Amino acid sequence: MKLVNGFLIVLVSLLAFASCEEAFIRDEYNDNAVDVFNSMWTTVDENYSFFDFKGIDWDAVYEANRPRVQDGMRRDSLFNVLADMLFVLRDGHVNLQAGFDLSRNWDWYLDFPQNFDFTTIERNYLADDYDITGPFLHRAIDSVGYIYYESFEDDFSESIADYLVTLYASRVTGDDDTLIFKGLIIDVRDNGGGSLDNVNTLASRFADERRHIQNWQYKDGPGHNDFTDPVKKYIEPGGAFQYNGPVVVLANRSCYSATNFFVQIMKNFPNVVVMGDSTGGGGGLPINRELPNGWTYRFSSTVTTTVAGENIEDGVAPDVRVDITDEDREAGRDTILEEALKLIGQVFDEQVNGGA
Amino acid sequence: MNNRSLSIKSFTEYSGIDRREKSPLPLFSKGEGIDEHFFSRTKTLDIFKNGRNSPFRKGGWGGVKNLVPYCLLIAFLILSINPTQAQEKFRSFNIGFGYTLPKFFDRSFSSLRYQGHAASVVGGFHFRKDSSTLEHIDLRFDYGQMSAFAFEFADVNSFRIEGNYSYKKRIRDIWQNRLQWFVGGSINTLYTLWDFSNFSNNSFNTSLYISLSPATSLVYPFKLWNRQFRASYSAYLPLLTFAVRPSYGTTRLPGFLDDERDEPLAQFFESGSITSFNKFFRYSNTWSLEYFLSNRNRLRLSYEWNYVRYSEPRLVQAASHNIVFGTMFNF
Repeated sequence: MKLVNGFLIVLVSLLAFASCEEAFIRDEYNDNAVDVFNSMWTTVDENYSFFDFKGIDWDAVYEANRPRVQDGMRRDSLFNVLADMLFVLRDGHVNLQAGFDLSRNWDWYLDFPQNFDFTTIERNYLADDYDITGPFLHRAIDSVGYIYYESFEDDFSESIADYLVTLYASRVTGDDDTLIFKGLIIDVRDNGGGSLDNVNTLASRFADERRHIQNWQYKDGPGHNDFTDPVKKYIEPGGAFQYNGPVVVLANRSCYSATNFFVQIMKNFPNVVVMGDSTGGGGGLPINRELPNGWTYRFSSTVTTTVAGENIEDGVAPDVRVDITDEDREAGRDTILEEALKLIGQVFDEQVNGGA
Repeated sequence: MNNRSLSIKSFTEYSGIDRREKSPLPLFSKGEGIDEHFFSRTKTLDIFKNGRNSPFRKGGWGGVKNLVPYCLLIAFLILSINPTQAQEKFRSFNIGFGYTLPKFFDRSFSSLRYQGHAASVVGGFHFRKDSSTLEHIDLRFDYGQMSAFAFEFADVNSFRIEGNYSYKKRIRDIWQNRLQWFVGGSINTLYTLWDFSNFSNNSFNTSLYISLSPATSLVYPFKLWNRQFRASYSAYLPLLTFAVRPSYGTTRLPGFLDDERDEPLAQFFESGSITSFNKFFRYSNTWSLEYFLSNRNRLRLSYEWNYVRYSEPRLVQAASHNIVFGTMFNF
């Protein structure tokens, strides 16, 4: 009988082990409205990276919004409360995603002139005679290479990058001794971002040498100022050929996120001028989280600064500020592109005359 | 700056709509636990029916009654058992396939518990030079898909690699010399990778734990219906662990934040810390039953329950139930 008892003890132990982690591993929150609210507030509080930079009192945001939340409230009402709370962060990398809506704060471009009209570019500059290489639309305008890149989400190969810079780097004389291209314009206006790999691949074609371009800081604790020491980021010349002729990068307020990074990186190179408007910003890597009720959201979790220590969350200022004038807009001209063509022409003339 | 995504459009185009909308029926809704269903269908004995402390009333020990027929069957089997001296010396290679029920909670990227299903492959070597030692090298690989407990969608691809080496000495025989008790130590490594397919910059979450543990085994050779079996129980409890987890604000390991460094070994060791019970707890126990074939190779059925908890930089807990069926070839 002892044997039977022993085996029963073993059997019961086995069954007990079979589910005992249920006592330890649990959801941190329930899916009621108050828990959903608390889950989001706490997670953002412990992980968002720009509270102090933007002067946001997150505790006050809690006090203002918590009374608006009660268990059993309508889902769309809860969504609106959470969206209002996130709106305060003034960050294009902050969104709340539910099945029926997406919260956002897009004031970083809505409050500013657009300074870009693709229809004008397509009809009056690209016209019928342009090439499409991967995601790039490009052609020569007045002996200047013009490349339009709509989104850094659109991948391209190393060979495409090599092809483009080599094509418009043909500052050599042909058989008839004529110069082919004076310089290059890279138009990233309205480019909302994408992959930093694409940023690196493209920017590396203009890097004259290995350069320290940015510093990144990661959150390393729940406090608003808990960050790692700055981590230096470098860019190195990439591909078979680096373009060293005059380059103008066209930017506007709708340049966000990875495009913000691209513009900031390009500003480091001596042969590059950024023209147009400030970029919209987006200097933190966004990370995703989920709420106990199944909604997902994201927010910035890192800080990016220039070598001089300037935070690029609110955008990168152009070297030459140009807005599209009303007169040009009505006439179907792109003031910024025209100024870029003029600038490259002037630089070319100076080089030619200086050389002569 | 490699392999990261920054975009405004990527999120708006993200197709992961409210998963609760898509899946109104959670796997286990509140108050509908498996145990509760199971127990509520049991009939209670009159003598215990109204007793406040009755082990058989609903919510009490109710399930025990339901186990009675199984216990009787086991008792019958046990009475048929003849303890025996099994093969005391062997070298065997084992390989097996099985099923794992994994669960985890990782505060680094979710406040929800995940669980799912995984397939397992197990391999290893078991040595027994003489009757006084046990030496095992085991490797297990799991791949599975997991989802938040309340949702049906498989959001997480789960990879798990576990390697263990143990050496144990037989210290005494107990239970009228029928049960051999081994005690020793083991080195246990556990690597997990959870890939959150719907996340972008924080989709990959890795952990690595290398532990030194005291380990024990109980081995019970017996004959049943003139066939030779061996039942065994093994467990280990790490005392000292080198734990590597992503840094607080990113899924990158702390030592690898700087892309410029090219000292992977130094970076790896900087990414971890040596820890013990105060922050790290792991427990594993395995039950196995081996059946001896006529050529002395064995068929092996094993069940393992494994639990790990680490509180740095943020709480992570994982558990798994694993059943494996395999063969052990002598060589």
